[in-house]
Amino acid sequence: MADFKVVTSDLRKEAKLWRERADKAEPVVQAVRDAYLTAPAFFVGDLTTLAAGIVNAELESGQYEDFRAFMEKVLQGAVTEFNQIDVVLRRIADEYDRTDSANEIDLEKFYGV
Amino acid sequence: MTGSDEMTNLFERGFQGLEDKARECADKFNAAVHHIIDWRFVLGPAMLAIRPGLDTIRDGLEKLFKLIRTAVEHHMPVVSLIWQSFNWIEKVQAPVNGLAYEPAKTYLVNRWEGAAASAYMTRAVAQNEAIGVVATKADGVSKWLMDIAKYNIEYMTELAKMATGFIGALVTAAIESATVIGIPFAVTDLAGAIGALVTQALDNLVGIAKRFAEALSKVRDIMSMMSDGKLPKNQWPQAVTG
Repeated sequence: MADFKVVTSDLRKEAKLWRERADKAEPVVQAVRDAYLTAPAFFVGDLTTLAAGIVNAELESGQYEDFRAFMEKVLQGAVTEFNQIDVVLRRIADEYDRTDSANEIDLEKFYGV
Repeated sequence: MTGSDEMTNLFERGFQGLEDKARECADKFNAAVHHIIDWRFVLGPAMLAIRPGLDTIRDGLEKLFKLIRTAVEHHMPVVSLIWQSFNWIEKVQAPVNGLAYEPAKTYLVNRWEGAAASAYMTRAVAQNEAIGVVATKADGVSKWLMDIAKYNIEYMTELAKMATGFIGALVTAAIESATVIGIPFAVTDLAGAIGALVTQALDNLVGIAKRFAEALSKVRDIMSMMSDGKLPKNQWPQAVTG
């Protein structure tokens, strides 16, 4: 089964790419964390003095924080998944090497259900 | 597109000398008041006519000072908003796009077949789609913040103009060196000028504030980006359970 030797080295190369992706995603998570803005950051003007009609400014600037937190959570999830894909691909490669068989991979065992 | 430095500079320009201008206005006004007090017995009944004018001028100055104080308090936070509007592009969108899956990087697709291979490809595609939508969202929030930053710059330009206008009016009136005969006229003229400046400046500032509020309310578009089919359950797609 010489073919599978090629496959497993490809799998390990592919795994490494996901590991690199995880490493590159880490600073992005940090950048999103740093993007926190307080309510006074949105407007230099004195909204209470200038326009009584503007009541939602506080609420709406708060919604930015909801979005930022969402992006942080999503990207943190990306780091986790990228790392997990790396592990799974390497485990599959190990399994191929061990069994010398292409068709007996138990998908649930590797990816979960 | 202007860089973050360029945009910050535009914003900073409004602050340059702003507090000095406020101080100068206050000094001029105080000098005027002292000058009037020195002559109050000579002015006699004319003081009755002078007082409302002084009140108008004082009210106008207090409005200006209050606006400047708030602006100074919000100065650095707004600068950070300008930076973050660029960071969403430079530190989020660009690197996230760089994460995109490139099948050509390995020969895996050519050399791996079967159920495990297709299970992997399905997952890789889902990851890739999530990468794409997250990059788009970063771009969206950056545009929104930049719009907000733009109105802050407009506002500071207008506020600086208002302060300059006040100084000009105080210098022109020169109450502090007016003759006793000239004082009542100088006060009336200055009160008229300040009144007109306040009306005009506030009109402009309120207009900018309203446009700012409208830009801010587009946060709804940002909120709607928090649900996306490519991010099931509002999360990054799970390739591996657990």
